[in-house]
Amino acid sequence: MKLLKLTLNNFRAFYSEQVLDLSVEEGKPAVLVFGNNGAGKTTLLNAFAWALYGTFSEDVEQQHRVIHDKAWADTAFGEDATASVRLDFEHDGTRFSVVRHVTVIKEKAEQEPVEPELTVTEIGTDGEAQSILNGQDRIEKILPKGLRQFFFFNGERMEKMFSGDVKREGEGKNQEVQKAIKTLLDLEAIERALEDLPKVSRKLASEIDSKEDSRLKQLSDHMDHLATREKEEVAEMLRLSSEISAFQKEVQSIDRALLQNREAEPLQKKRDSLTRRIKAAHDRHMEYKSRKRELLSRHGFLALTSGIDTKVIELADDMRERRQLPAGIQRSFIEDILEAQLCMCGREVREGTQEYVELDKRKYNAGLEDVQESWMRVSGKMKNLEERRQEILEQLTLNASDIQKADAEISELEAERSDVDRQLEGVNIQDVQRLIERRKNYASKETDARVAHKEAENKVTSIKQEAEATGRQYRKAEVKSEKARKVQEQVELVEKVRAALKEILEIKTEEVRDQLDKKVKEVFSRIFIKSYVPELNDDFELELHTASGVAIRSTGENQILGLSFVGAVSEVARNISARKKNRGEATIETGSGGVYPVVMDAPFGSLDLTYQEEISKALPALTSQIITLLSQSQARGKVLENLQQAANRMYVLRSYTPNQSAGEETIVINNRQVPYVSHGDFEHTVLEKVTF
Amino acid sequence: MAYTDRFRRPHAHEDLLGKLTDRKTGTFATMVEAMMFAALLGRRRGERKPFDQADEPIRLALMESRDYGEVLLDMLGAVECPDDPKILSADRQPERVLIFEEYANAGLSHLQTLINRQSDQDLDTIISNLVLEGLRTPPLEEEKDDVGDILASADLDW
Repeated sequence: MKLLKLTLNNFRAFYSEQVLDLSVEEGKPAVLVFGNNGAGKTTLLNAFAWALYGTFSEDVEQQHRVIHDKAWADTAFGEDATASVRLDFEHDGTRFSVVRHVTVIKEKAEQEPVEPELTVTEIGTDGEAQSILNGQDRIEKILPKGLRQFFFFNGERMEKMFSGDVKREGEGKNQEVQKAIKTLLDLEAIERALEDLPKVSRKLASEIDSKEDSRLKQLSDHMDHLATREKEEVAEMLRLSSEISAFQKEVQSIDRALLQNREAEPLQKKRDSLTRRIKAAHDRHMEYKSRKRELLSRHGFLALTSGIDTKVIELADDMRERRQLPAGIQRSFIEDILEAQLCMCGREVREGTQEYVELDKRKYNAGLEDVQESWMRVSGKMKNLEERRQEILEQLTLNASDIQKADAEISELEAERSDVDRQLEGVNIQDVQRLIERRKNYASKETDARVAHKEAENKVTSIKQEAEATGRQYRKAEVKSEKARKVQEQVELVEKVRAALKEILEIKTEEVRDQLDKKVKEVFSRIFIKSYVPELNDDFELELHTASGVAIRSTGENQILGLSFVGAVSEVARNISARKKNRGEATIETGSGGVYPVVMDAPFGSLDLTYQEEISKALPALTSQIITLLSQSQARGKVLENLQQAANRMYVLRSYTPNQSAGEETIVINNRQVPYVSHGDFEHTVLEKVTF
Repeated sequence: MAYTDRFRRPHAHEDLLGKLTDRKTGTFATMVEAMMFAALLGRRRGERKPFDQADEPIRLALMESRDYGEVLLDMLGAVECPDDPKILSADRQPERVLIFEEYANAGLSHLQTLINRQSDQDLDTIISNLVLEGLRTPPLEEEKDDVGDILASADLDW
């Protein structure tokens, strides 16, 4: 398969028609596409797969919005809007044009999911175009959907390659991949032959009627009957399988819901406990507040006494310092003497004399006996005031910090509770019982289906044994007529062919597995520095071994493993094709049947620079056509150099944005600035070829 | 002998006193405590404010039963009339009551101003700020004392 051209029309981020020429040359197998984050690299990657299979990968958001927003918005109600992706490719000398498109009559403002339509056209070597009716079948014959993730992949999701959806419960491991590989490597034809040969036997056997040989006819009828029964049982097994997986899915989804609800139970408890604690902290806050009030109310005024106490003490001391007069002498008595300037003893007490001064001094204290006690009492009380004020300060400070602590606790607990509330959102506790009931129901249905499946399986086994025994009897039966003998011989021959083919298939499968295994080992060791060895086991599962057993793979290791596997599958397919050509098995000389392209987004994912370099070197050798989508951060230095050497052509996904505040950007390719992000009228992406 | 067993509360601050002693939002448990605080606040600011209109007077005994309440009138009187030791005599009790009342009135006015000015603050906060300020910084009177010192050094008795 060789990709030729991808044409996008109003497909998601891409407005109007955008064409990507994918043809490559010998030695230059790469097409590089540079794109900014959000420019549409993933869309472009998905465009390939969408054209071929009609679905997006899971990481595509808003899957229903297939038509470009502006194209959709410009469409009037009642009118048609359309989007399409066309992929032209060549396979086994035949050109194919695959067009997947959606056409919608706009009835609502929003786009709704639509089933895209497929047209596959085959252009033969003679140039005649012919449309293929069962196009999807044809596509999957060429590139099985089971291998989709190996040929169109996102480097950042590489680890998913070997896990998840490729494995299906009840079908063994990696069935899909195994089947896909067989298709790719042409082993499928043998398998089909194996299935068809018994039919041939029976068809031959049916030519005998009971007149010719009643015994043989009887055996043949019995074999027919057994084949029908086997078919029925196999169909029943299939039905049961799908039932089992449906029940399983139900149980799983209930489990998820239950898990959420179970998570809710402790959350609910936690919430209650938090609420209690918040209430307690609130109570404490209130208690501290009322304590504060009490303090302020009862003792607050004492805080304002500073200065008063010292003043009172000072006054009292001052009073004591002045000399005391005998009790009973009135102040007015001394005042009279000083007024008259004459003592009661007749002596003159002239103003300015020593006597006058002394008397005047004593006047202050005179007659204070009645207040003296009060002064002593008041000043005595004042002595402890400073201490009391300190106490109040301490208590208020302590109280303030208590309040603060309580407040902090409240806000912390409330934040925690609102967090729990968020987690609790959308959980209905009452659903739990119902869910558990439903789960029980489905689980028991699943068990029943499993039992039935097992029974059917046993039946098939015994039918097969009986059929084989009948077959032996048939072949060994003594026959009467010549015709019967001839038929018997032919059936015998068919049986021998079947046995041989079975052996061939086993050998071939093992051969392919072995080739793939060798190739993966070789490619892997080219890139990877650790002494790990990859191995493709009998189930076509890829394992990574260390000296001590199966290695635990990191994301980066998975990526390298994935790349190695892709390279290996592609290369083995190429070799098989080449060998067929040599043996003249391939019908067309220019056939490219065994060559497969690889389209990858962010091929380096999150790899270290060393690996990026190694991979950029190894990539061109992996397969004959590589479409690589790169972001600017992935396209630097040595890596870019290596890739450019292998590149036949380069494109830039130039994104236009009406957001004037977004800076215009350029990307440097071959020392040239290429526009990368530009201002435009609306959001869209344009594919621009970079000439160099 | 002039004697009184009650002190007056200023009618002008009836609302404020009600607010201060509101059961839910007021800081003070009783009218007495609110008045005591107001008086000290007025004293600290050195403001006295006479008033005529009064609401129902409060029994002095209520104040006396409180911690330091029994010396509060004396204390205020003593610092109010430092050169008149007789202020503490029993017969001058009405004068001491008046000093208390007038300081309280001035204190209440000041509180009202603060409440108006900081309408976003609750009473507890305003009052605890006053208390903390009182505890941490020396009273306004320091300045007056400075003046007093100067006067004293100038040998001017007062």
